[in-house]
Amino acid sequence: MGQAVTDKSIVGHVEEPWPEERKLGALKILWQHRELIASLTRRDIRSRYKQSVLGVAWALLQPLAMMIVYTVVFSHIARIPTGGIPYPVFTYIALLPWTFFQTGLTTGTECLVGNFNLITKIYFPREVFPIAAVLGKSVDLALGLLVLVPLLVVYRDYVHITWRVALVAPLLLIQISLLLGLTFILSSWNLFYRDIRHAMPLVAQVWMFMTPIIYGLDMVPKRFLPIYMLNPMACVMDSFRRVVLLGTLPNWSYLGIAAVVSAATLIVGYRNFKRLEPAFAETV
Amino acid sequence: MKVISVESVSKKFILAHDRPKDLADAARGIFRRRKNEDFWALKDVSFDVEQGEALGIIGHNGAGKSTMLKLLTRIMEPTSGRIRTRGRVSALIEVGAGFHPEMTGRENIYLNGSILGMSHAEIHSKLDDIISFAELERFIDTPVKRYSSGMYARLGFAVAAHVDPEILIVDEVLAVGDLEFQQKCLQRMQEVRTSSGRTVIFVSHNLAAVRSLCTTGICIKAGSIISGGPVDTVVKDYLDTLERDCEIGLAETTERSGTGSMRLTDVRLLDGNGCATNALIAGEPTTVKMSYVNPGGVKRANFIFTVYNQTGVPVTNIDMGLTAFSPGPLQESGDFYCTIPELPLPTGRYRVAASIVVGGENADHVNSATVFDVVGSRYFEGGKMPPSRYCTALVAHSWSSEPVVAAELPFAAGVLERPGEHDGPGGATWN
Repeated sequence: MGQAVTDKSIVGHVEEPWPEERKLGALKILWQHRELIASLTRRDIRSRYKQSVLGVAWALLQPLAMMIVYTVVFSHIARIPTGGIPYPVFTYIALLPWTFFQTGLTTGTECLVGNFNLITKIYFPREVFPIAAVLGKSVDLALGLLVLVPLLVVYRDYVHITWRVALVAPLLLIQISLLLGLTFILSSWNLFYRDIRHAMPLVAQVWMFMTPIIYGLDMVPKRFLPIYMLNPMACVMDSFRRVVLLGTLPNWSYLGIAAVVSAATLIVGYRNFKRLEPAFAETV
Repeated sequence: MKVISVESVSKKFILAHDRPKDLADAARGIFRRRKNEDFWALKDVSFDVEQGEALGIIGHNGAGKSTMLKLLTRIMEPTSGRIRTRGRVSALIEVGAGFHPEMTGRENIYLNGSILGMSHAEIHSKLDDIISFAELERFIDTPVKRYSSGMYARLGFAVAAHVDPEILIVDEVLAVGDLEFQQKCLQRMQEVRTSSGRTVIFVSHNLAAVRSLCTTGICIKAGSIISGGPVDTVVKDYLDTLERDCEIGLAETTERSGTGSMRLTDVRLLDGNGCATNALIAGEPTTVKMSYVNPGGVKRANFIFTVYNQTGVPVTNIDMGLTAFSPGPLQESGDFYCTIPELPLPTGRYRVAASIVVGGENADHVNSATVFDVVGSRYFEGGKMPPSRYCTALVAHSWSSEPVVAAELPFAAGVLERPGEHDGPGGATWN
């Protein structure tokens, strides 16, 4: 990509227009548009909960409701072993980031289609849409943490809070890279093939069962682990439990794989997005 | 200093007659060739814009104006060639882009402003100006979904008008709405240009607006620039091409739009003796003959034509549907005659755009159906005319030194010979 051929006689060759801006790094372009990203994020959040009586409480209700359902089903009926940790907090610590991930994917997939009117009318780098979509969902995640704190207090006798809680930050970073990378890919493909929109809920469902959310990682047969842990979310979810509930360190080698896969997804997703970007306004 | 340089830019669209509908279809498509057609919306277009210039881009519908606009604003990228711009480009293509109905006017100012490229600090400092420009002080904290469409447009325009770019690109769709709104829009563009030496690019059909606002122009036809230079020359060249299009013959011309359920085959002018001519005399009876074919067996249709003068201003619009004339079921082909008892046009060249409307939709519309000249006048005794710069149409009148009851005046009662029973308000008659 990006080779500059200056022979104008070659019809059909796409030269790089506006070479000045192409030289700017991706991050610099984003920094220039930070206020636009902030505005779009605010619009996403405001519009999501306006005209609903419970408002932002809905952001808390979804993981809370799932926590209760799963607790009843998997703790009282199916009796999944949790290594002595009460099931509600055991599942919530994974459900919260997973809900963020899953709703982030579903709304992120729609971010270009939903803003198509703007795409055909005004130019700015289109990556602001996926970024704003993911940022908008991060606010839900932050609100969900408000529920986590009283849960940890209630079950304080069963969990070991140590300084390792701080490792949540790099874990979230890995998760957000993966989410953003996938949002880049899915939102742009969804513009061309709306099949993506219909496939997403199904894929997310399957993915959830392949990730230790309702069960613990130690229930996964050892021989499957090398393949199972290629799913970065598996390692991230397990690590959340370790650093917050058990006070232990993540499995560094698996976390390394997760970090590499997530970073690669982000880079590939971003490049794919920028490659398709010129065609966005032309899809009808 | 050059602020925009367009270097042999072409833009190709693929008219996908056979576009994959979904992933499965796309997968099957790997094994067979798709029937796609290339369409060059722009072919090897080059021009430069200097700082402080006001460039008008004119041309027919579908000539490539909008594509040029989208390339200049970076919404689309050229297929080949290069566009260089220097300075902040702001495009006013739509009023109120990105407005969110649930958010208040104030919140939408920030949102829309940042979409248009303003920083928050900049919007903050201009907030009061924007609100007062929009005349929405009382409603600024109301969600915009409660706004009337006029309020919505005012707010959108107020934000757009306060963007202060080095290069302002304006689409004519911005100038829709009521006349006052259009004036405000044009006035603001004029201000932007003269006060700060900004560069303005204006894409429009409205030749009068282009002339008053722009210093230079380019005329695009079928994807190529056919004329460029001082705006008056370009507008004249554009009108000339419209006239040349008339010579192709109405039945064959492809410069038309509409559903095609009926077609105009001929529009011509007849003088008082019923002879076809393109040289008419003001004040003489004149007939416009419109011929049609009706392959679809349409029963009822409306015939309309608009007369434009040399500067592209519509002088009058004559609409069969506004008169009491009812033609009865249409034939497979036929003619309608519209008679104007005294042609009320000053000397000059005119263009007629004609359309057939079936069920509220254009069945056929031809922008330049015919061209005629008014070469002399018998409108006033002595054959004189008012100076053309003060006059686009002539009005029948009489003078007296006593008050008169208007109903008793000769032309109000129809002292002129009128050919039909069903009189339109302007004295035009269909049959």
